[in-house]
Amino acid sequence: MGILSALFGSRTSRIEAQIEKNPAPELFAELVRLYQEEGNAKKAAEVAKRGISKFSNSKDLQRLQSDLERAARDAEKERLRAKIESYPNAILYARLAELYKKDGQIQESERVCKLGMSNFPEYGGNYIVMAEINLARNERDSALKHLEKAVEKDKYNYMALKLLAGLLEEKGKFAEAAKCLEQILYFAPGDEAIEGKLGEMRKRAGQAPPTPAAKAQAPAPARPKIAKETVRVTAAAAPARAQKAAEPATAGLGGAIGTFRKVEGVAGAILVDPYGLVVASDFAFDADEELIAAMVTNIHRSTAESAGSLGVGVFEDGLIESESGTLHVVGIKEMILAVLAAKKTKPGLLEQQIRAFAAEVLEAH
Amino acid sequence: MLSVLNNLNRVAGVRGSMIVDPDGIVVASDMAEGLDEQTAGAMASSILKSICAALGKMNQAGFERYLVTGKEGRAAIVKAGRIVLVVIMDKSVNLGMVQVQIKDAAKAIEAKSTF
Repeated sequence: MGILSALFGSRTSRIEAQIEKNPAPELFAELVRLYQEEGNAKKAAEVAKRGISKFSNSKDLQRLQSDLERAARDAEKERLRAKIESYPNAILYARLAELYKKDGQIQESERVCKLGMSNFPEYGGNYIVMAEINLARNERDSALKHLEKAVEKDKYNYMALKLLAGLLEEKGKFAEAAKCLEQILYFAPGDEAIEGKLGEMRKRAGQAPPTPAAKAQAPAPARPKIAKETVRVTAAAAPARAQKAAEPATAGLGGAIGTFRKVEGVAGAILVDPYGLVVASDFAFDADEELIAAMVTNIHRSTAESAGSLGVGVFEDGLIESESGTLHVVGIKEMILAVLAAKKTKPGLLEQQIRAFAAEVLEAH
Repeated sequence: MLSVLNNLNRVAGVRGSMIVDPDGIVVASDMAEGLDEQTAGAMASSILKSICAALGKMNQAGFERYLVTGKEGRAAIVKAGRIVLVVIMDKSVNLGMVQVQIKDAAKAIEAKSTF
């Protein structure tokens, strides 16, 4: 161990010991700065988070945390810009636009978003981000147009449907708003906030609530037929230059998702992006992939929202067991991977496959 | 039912457990301090609703349990007849061993349940 690192180690240990004995915001701040000086942003962020959880009113810690978050976003922007240069895909544009928006760089956000929409017109995520930019600028009509486009591309998108319902309500189109909310409840039944809003919209539209029998018979929104036993790569995952040539079992994520079925008992897998859209999927049966994506997103969202209240901290992954088999739901960066398997599937083998796939996703995005 | 929870909580790595009715109301609880039981119960019930709906639409009926892993621990949401057993565990818990105990506890709760 070098003299400098030994010295650094002793300083951090000393402050950690002091925090343990008598925690104070100044100590947390000093430790954050030490890790920053060392270039260990991850550790600095961890300490800042710990400090804020104990001293939420400390201005110094709040500022340090905000600086660290900003620096992390800048690094991520740089990474995304480089990725777009070398291997563009639709999600990269949406995520970069969102980061610009978060930092108040609205013009840059709009520019990136428009590029994404133009290069990948079939991908819904960029339309959602564009609608959010419109809403931030109070351009309600443009937001409505972009949300309609997002829903046209993915009829099960929770975020797009919810925002669209809100805008339709503003315009006094209560029946249309109710339709959007009904669509959400198709893949997110029991969502109390949506149920409440739907009741209100129906009332304002002068509609009577449907009978339980009518509810049970409600047809699923029409979907495009997807051939059985195919590996699907959406426009989101296909590089711009190869978009037209994106065939089943395309190399990259499409190819990688197909490897799950090599594990005995696996019936299929799907990768969903932060906007609830299918990035890649592969099922052994005729699956409504968009519906599965919406449901997996809904399970992930409700678990992530509840994990803190259940005392387990930030949600990492979930394993659902049913009489028919298992459903693994794993967060990979901002995406969600779901794997449907039979009970006989060996957990160790599947976990190995999930890890290998996660590494590929991280590499590609 | 509390005795079943007490026994379950003696297993190494188990932080606490509770029983929740189909509406998310806590029926019995033996949880570690610092956890809002009512909120946790309501959350578990809400998660279960979205899972059961999803499984139904994926032709995967017959929910049995959901194991949630977080950065600071694990939670098992287990069907025990018409009610639900929620178990909160350390992340380092021996899952193989605790799952057997959870299964037994769920059976015992189902047998005692009047729901």
